[in-house]
Amino acid sequence: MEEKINQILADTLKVPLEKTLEDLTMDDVNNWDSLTHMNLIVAIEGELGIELSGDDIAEMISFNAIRKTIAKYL
Amino acid sequence: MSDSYLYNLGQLFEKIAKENSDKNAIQCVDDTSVSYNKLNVLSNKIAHYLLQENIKRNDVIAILNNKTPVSYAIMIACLKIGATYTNIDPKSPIERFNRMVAICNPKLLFYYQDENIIINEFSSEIINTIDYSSNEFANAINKLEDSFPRYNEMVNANTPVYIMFTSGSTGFPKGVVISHQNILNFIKWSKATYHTTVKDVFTNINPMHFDNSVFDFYSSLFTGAAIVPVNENLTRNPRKLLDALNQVKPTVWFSVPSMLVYVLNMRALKETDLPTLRVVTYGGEGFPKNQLKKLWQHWGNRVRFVNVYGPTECTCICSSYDVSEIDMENDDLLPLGHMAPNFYGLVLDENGDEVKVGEVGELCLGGPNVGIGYYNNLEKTEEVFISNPVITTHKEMVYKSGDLVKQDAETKMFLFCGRKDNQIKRMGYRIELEEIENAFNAIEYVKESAVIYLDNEKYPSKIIACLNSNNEDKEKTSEVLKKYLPSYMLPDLYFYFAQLPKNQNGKIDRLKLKEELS
Repeated sequence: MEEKINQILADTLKVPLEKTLEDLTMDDVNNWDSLTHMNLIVAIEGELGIELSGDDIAEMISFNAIRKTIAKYL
Repeated sequence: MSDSYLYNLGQLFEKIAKENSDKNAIQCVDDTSVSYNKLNVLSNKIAHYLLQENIKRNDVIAILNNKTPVSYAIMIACLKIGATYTNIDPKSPIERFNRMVAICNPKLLFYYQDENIIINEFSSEIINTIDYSSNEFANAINKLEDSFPRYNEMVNANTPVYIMFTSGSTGFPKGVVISHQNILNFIKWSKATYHTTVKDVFTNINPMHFDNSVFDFYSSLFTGAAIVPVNENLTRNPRKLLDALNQVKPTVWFSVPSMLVYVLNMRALKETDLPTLRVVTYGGEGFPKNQLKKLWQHWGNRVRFVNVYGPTECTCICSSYDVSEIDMENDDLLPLGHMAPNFYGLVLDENGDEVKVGEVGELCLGGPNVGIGYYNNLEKTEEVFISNPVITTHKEMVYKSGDLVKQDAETKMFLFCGRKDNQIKRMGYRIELEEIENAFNAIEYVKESAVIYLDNEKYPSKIIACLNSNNEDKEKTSEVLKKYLPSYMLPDLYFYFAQLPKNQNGKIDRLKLKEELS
């Protein structure tokens, strides 16, 4: 599962796969704008088969926060 | 300065500021505000500073704009002395930034302190730079006089106001030039169309280097309304964005549909949000109907929806369409709307002749919104800013938009049918796919490249790079591209080929690539 999440992060945020092991935030990733964030959420929901709440989405602003939120649903 | 004959934007702002002196011009989401008087004084002081720096009419001033009162005041100061400002994306890739600088050759570059912006990467030896967020700058302008600069008399209505950079098919961005005349007309149109009063509060969600910000800035500060600066960080978190906006009670929202779709899809919008909003207007790209219907359910009974259309070359907006309940009954894309009064559209075939009503052709736009051309690029200017081919008795400038449209026989409104070139829209940003190909061509190990755009079930809204390359390391290539292209232009997918398909003329066959990948 961890690998799947890392791959989603790498593909949607266009960062090298090894970078997904770090706890990068929205500020660290230059192209993590609103459109990319939306693509990221759509990819997470589609590929992991979960539905996130508005409050969850608002919190998902770093790689660790994303992992923590997803963990709640799995 | 005469009240009865205002012929440039500096004079108009001075008049509006005097009439609304104690009223909020800038209303920030942190509950601070700046009055018209304060903004006017600040802009006058900066105007004197620019004159002291020997800046004259038609000189270019580049601004990395963070939407603070000072950065807005720098823009107004430029208007007052007839300098041409250009707001450049503070996060531009270095090579793209260098190309924009080479095109417009700015006399000064205003920047602010931030470790994530371009200023940290480029050599300041080529341009004089000024940190407008510094105490040094604040002290320097404080000493200067705050009167309206007399030099303003020199600024005639044909003087350029700004250069707005947009994607160019040659690999170099194109700098669209818009005049004082264009904007003065735009303000009158906007005020009448949106029934703007001094009580209105406009959001400024659009980045200042993006064409839609022209509406935010001029529709508010040049009519006595207030503007709410919204920084990029806030737009990335839609719930926080709405919480912040709820505090300042905006009445007019303008953004690309993508921003509204984002707010909807992130499940951020509550029934109680933005109770004072009276207009939501959007443009820059089509609004997917299923998403528009969702927004209509939220706001349709209390907010006016206005769909607008207009290329950067014609001052932001040329036509508008008031959405109604009837539009929610089908899945058709909305029409571009009725042309603004004092403006017209011609639909021409490849020979420059008008097509019959209902036939598809290229939309050419005419009227006082048609800009001056592309900065430092006469060749491209002459190609698309042409004399109206239907009028043979005298010259009347029209802009060939490249948009393919047809006119509805009944309503006379234009319907968008596609592009005649390889331009696409993403988040409202124009992207010439050739600009991406040119960036690939700068990479030595890439032998051939073609960039296509697909928007189907398999590849929804994807920019796809098709490469014949000696190195198939996609991550390495993507890192190199980031020097040339902003993030919204980076390809989503890479496909490698031993050879790219060619058509009969020996050119890369994009159509075949699209078919193969669909």
